[in-house]
Amino acid sequence: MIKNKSSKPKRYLTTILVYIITVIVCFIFFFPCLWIILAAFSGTGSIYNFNGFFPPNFSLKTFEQLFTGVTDVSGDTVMYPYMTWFLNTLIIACATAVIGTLLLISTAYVISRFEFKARRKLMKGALVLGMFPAFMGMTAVFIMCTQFQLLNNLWGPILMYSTTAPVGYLVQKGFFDSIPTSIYEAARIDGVSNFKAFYKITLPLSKPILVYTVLTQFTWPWSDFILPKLLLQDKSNYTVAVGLMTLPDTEFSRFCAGSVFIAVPIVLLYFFVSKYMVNGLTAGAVKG
Amino acid sequence: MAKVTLKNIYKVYKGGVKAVNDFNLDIPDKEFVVFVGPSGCGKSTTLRMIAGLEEITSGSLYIDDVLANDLEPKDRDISMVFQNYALYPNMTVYENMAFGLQSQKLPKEEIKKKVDQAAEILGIKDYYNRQPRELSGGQRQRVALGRAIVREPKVFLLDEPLSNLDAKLRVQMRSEITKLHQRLQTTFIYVTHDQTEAMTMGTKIVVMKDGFIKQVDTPTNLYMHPANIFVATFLGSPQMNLFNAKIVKDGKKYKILLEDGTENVVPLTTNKLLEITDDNFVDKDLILGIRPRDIHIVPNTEDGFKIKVEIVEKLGDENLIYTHLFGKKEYTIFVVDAKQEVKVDDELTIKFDEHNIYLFDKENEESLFKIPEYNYFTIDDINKYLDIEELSKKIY
Repeated sequence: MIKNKSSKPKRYLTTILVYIITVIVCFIFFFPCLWIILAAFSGTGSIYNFNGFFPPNFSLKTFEQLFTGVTDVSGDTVMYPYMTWFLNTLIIACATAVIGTLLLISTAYVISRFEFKARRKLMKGALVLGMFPAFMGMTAVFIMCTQFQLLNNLWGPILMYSTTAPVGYLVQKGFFDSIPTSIYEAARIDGVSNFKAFYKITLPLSKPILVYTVLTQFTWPWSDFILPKLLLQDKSNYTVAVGLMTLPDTEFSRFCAGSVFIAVPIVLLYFFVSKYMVNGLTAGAVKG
Repeated sequence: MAKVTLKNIYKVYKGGVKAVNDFNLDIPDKEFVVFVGPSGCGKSTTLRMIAGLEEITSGSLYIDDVLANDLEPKDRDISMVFQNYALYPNMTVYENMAFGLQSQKLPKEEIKKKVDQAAEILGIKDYYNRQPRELSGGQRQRVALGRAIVREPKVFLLDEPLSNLDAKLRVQMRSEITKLHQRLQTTFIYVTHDQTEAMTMGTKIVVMKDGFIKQVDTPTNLYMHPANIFVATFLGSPQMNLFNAKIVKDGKKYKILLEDGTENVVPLTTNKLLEITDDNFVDKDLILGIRPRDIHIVPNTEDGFKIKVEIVEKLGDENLIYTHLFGKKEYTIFVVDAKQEVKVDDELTIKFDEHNIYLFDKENEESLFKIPEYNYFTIDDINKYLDIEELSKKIY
């Protein structure tokens, strides 16, 4: 074989190019985050007295203010109850993580393991439904929640998030598909019920995909804006995302601090369980 | 302990694919039955129908004279060993074996006793606390067998249990399963595509092809009296050699012409002539089969077929000789002792052993010879072997 002499510099050039592109892309993604973080630590509180992009001086004042809130003129209504919003978000996200995961995992398991009449139709239906953006159903969701008197109630978004979760069952089904059927057949011969086989065999084998599912079910309501904006109208029921949007321009650094603070748990969560996440994703992908 | 009866069993998949056709079989108690055949012949499907993992499209399945078509697997009193072992990956060896008993809600001490017993037989007591992934293939297979034993089922079903093991371990496990069968004295139904496994383990072999049973008999009878070309070529290694043949009358005697050559003649012995069931056998298109071990080298001076050696395969104790005979496209293979020096390009004279030839009708591929009536003995018969009178009653 004739050696291509130009191959080495060419390879370097490609590597350099790839790095440059990566740095640019990283910068594009990271810069807004950085800006928000810096603004959160701004000492002035407003966006209008920044020197160009950056705040003139830094302090932790905004974070302190975040939890004290601001009382209105009469002195009894807290205008920006960040702590309440935070708790609301936490309640909605945790409840969705539990209920949504239960529904999603059982849907994926049933579709993966059992042959039943409507199976194919259900799968096709879910696929088609999944293609539409979720907010297309907002009117229906709003009407439904009005009918069930779930408007302005944390259960509204919780139920909406959890019950729509099973539509995205494909990754989990892929994972369950990779567990050999003969294990279930052995269990069937052993006289083990379907449910017992599920929690004694499938669940212990599915830790990575469980972690992945809980995380995705948690993060979605945690950062979602549209649905809570639609369903929660009382200030005391707001989630952080909705609450922060009600802040006036003058409270820009409060807005930034709120955004940064809400991002912390998610970042930590991803940091600790990313190992399982990757496992879960690839495990599901093997036999997608 | 149970007998299994399959009557007109069919399996038709969605889209009309017939996996099993009119399967009729009586499996007496304590029998070791082997289903053998190439992949896709329906042997595993049949086994899975007996297990209850696959629905029976039509026909009836009786386990101990009880109609079992619609019984759940757990109510059939069977246990099954799978090709990929199908151990529960998240449980230890002990838990794997105890899992089935736990769901029967047996008391803990009894479970422990039963698991201990099974583990003792298979020599896996030392691995109790290990997980399947920490075991070798052979050990896993033993655990899978152990899981099947603890339930003390009426029927053992084994679906190619040795095909994931390496050659040496396979031979070892083969004899262990045979020993297990003798020890447990239970009905075993074993599926394999490996004819050696079938021949060495089964007390009765069911040869299948394309969803049909081709022949059912003891290993020896199948080898000695194949009912059709498929069975004749499927069992025995190297495979039986086949030639086009025609029986012609030569004065008072009969002779067989091979591949339309007037020179290629094999005499038809009186014994073989008496075995022929078809009355119009003269001048009919036939297939002659001869096993590689029934072709012998004779001195050049004698009558026989002159050949040129084309390939020599050395197996150690014997050599396989490949040659082209009678202008046939396929190789003719025969076996010679390794001590007999045969080299490529050697010119030899060979002779067919006329007492060990097989003749088949070319049209329907059925044997021309009479197949002995289903003459096989159960283990009970063999145990009664000393009682000659009893046995002779069965034979005559």
